[in-house]
Amino acid sequence: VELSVATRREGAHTIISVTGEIDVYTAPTLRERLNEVVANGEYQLIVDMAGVDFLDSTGLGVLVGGLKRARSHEGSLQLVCDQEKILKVFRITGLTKVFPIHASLADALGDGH
Amino acid sequence: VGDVELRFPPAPGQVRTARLVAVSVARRAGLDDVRLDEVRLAVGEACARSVNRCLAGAVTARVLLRMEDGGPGLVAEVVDEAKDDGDDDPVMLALLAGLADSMEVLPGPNGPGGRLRLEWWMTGSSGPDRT
Repeated sequence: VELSVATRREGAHTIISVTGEIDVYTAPTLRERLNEVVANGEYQLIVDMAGVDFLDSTGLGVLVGGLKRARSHEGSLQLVCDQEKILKVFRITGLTKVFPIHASLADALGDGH
Repeated sequence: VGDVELRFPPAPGQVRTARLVAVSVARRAGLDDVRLDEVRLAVGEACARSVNRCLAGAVTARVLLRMEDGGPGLVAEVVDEAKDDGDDDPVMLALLAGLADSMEVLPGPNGPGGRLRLEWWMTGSSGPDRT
């Protein structure tokens, strides 16, 4: 399996833990899961990318889409990532200004939103 | 040592194979781990771009990835047989420009935009770190 996605609730938040490679082939799986979660009425999203070892522009597009959906319901989408090679993708594309990015899940949960 | 060519069907599931080939060639060419990740991502983006162009144009001819490591640096070219270039995703273009030392979108065999060329230039082992 190139990508696995697991979701769980923690207080007001829904944590989407992603493991593997998010690319043009696997990104639709993540998109579907994010859509399901929002359709389920869960709008305070945290995507935990600690287990992600590859992210391309298709994956970025899916995350931006998830953020827009969450925000359309007054929600949020935060990211957990501390890997330089993944952070670099957000920096090059200017998306560090768009997503709250935390080094750990504890930081994300403690963000107060 | 020489050029490596991979031809793959224009399907999203094939892009990972192309990435693996690109990294293998880049590693043999002596790129460090940071630049290996750049090659992995940039070549993946270029191949995904061609796959999407082919899917949009119902083109079934295989996409070509050509890697050259015989010169002063590493060159990756991705060539597809789609007819028109459509609109490239600006996020993807920003990534490609940020990851490679040189990035050019060129005419392909059947129309504009069908060839994407990426270059990484070698720096001496004692050269300054790239940031």
